Amino acid sequence: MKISESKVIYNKKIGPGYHVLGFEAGWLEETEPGQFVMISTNRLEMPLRRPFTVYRLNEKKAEILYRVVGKGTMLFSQLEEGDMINVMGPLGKGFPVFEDKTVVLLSRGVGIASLGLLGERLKKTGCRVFTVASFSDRTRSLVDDYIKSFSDELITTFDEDGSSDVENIRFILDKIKPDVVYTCGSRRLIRLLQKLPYEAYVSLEERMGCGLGACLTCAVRTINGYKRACKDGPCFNVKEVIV
Amino acid sequence: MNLSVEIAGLKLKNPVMNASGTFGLSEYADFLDLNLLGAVVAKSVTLNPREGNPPPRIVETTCGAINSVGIQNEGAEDFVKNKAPAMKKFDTVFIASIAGLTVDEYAKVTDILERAENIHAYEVNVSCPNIEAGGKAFGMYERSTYEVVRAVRDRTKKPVIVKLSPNVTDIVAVAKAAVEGGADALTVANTYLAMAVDIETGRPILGNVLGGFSGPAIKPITLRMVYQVVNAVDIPVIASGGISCGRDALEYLLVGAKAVQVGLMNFSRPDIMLCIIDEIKTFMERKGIKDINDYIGSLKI
Ligand SMILES: Cc1cc2nc3c(=O)[nH]c(=O)nc-3n(C[C@H](O)[C@H](O)[C@H](O)COP(=O)(O)OP(=O)(O)OC[C@H]3O[C@@H](n4cnc5c(N)ncnc54)[C@H](O)[C@@H]3O)c2cc1C
Ligand SMILES: Cc1cc2nc3c(=O)[nH]c(=O)nc-3n(C[C@H](O)[C@H](O)[C@H](O)COP(=O)(O)O)c2cc1C
Ligand code: FES
Repeated sequence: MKISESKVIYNKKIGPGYHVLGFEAGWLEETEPGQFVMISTNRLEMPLRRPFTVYRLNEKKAEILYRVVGKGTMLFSQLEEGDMINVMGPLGKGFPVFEDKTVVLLSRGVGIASLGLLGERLKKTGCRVFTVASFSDRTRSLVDDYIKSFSDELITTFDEDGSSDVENIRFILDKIKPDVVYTCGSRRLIRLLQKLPYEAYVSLEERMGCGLGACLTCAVRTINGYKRACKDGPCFNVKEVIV
Repeated sequence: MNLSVEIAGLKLKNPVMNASGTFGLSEYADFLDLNLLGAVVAKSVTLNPREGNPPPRIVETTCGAINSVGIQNEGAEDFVKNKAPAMKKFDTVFIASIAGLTVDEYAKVTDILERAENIHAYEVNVSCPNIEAGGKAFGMYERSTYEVVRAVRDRTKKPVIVKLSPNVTDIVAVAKAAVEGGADALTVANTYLAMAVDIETGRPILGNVLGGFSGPAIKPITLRMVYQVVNAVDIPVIASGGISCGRDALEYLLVGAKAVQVGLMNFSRPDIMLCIIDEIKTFMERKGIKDINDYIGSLKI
């Protein structure tokens, strides 16, 4: 893990308020699926770094897929090729990776960003990868060629036609009968998975200070007391977390 | 060039240390050599383990952040057994931070910490809620500040540094109460009681509703308090509040702080304390200052 000035290679808008930021990051090569980086705003008015999961690693570059939700992400959305960003990572504990299993990547919205690297890795370890991605409507679908490249089967669901309904997701999962489910982006989906018999893991989001395990501001509630999202997580077994 | 300063008999290599709760010995070792710091201050510990406040525990606001960790810690025994020994391999002044919810708890924590071999001094965090007086922080009143300091003072020969709360009507009065209680030095100051709300959800952002505000935004207010306290007491003052660069540190030294603590800014820049030390050196070179002690308190009014 280290801190580095990295050059922005591209910052593509891929949907309403959604961007993919690619930056030079040979030093992130060893990043495990589900691990994250923290990017500095370089502004005293925004003194905390912003956490983002590494979406994809390609050659010597890393990508994050992010949604503009506030001041920091607004600032990042204006980055251009050649700009320098200050990146700290890789951080945290990622997802466990299994071999030769039937797995579901179950995402909600931009939560799919936390499952990209994972899907690619699971495909390599011989898993059958079902991607079940839910979005509010079709204009907000974040399914791209990368997601397609590792998905043996891809199911997109939407609020606009009711297909993203929790009962429908349960139906889809029960048809696939996965060995392992990985999820990110929705508390409703976590609660659903807590009720189902499948082994399941989640990448949690919590507001963070240091990102290094020192400040104890990123507490998440688990059956074993508070854990640090940045160090003990962000990836947890869904049976462990209390949401 | 001399950067070393002396505080209550402790010789610091330079006037820069971390603020309690914003730094971890193992977590930050990747980014800086602890031997290069003036001192290292540990996270506050209580008698028993505390699980801390419900999340979210931190929220950024313009030029700062509000936190409500709630002194999550494993307790004083654990600190002595499992945390303090990690500092043994460093040749840097090591300061433990004492917290409690009753005067008696401060006393008991001190007794336990006295068993550690390598603690050089104590910082007494009087910003904890006094549960015997409705949960208001000890440091908000002269009397409870005095009582807590006295309790620690009576149990140790090591230097006692009292970290004042800024949430007071008259910082000088509380500073004097700490001196009377037997303080060898003061840290000015802890975080400012604050809150943040979300107009979309109509709810507070912090799980604890209220939290402590720190970061660059608070610097002018804490600078004012350091200035007032330095001019009112005869013991050394350590400044803590909003330091983000060498210039901020130098401002505090100029008004008379003997040393400075860096808190929130360690998060975004884990090596920031080393940069601050370098910037102080560069400034001294540029101004031809041979001894930092000649600069400390040299404010002309
Ligand atoms: C481990 C982890 C991985 C993440 N990965 C992604 C990702 O791949 N793509 C993506 O779009 N988003 C991701 N997020 C959420 C992302 O960090 C926030 O959307 C972002 O910090 C918002 O910053 P802002 O300045 O635009 O928002 P503001 O609301 O202005 O931010 C104010 C403060 O709150 C914090 N904050 C606000 N929302 C969140 C949140 N949901 N989680 C944590 N902190 C928050 C900010 O970091 C900042 O400190 C992740 C969060 C975590 C904890
Ligand atoms: C996340 C966080 C945790 C803190 N924990 C403690 C603590 O345990 N004990 C203490 O005395 N002060 C604590 N503080 C206060 C800092 O030590 C420091 O005095 C204050 O933040 C002001 O400095 P700053 O503006 O540089 O952050 C904490 C501050 C932060 C941001
Ligand atoms: S963000 Fe500091 S411990 Fe997790």
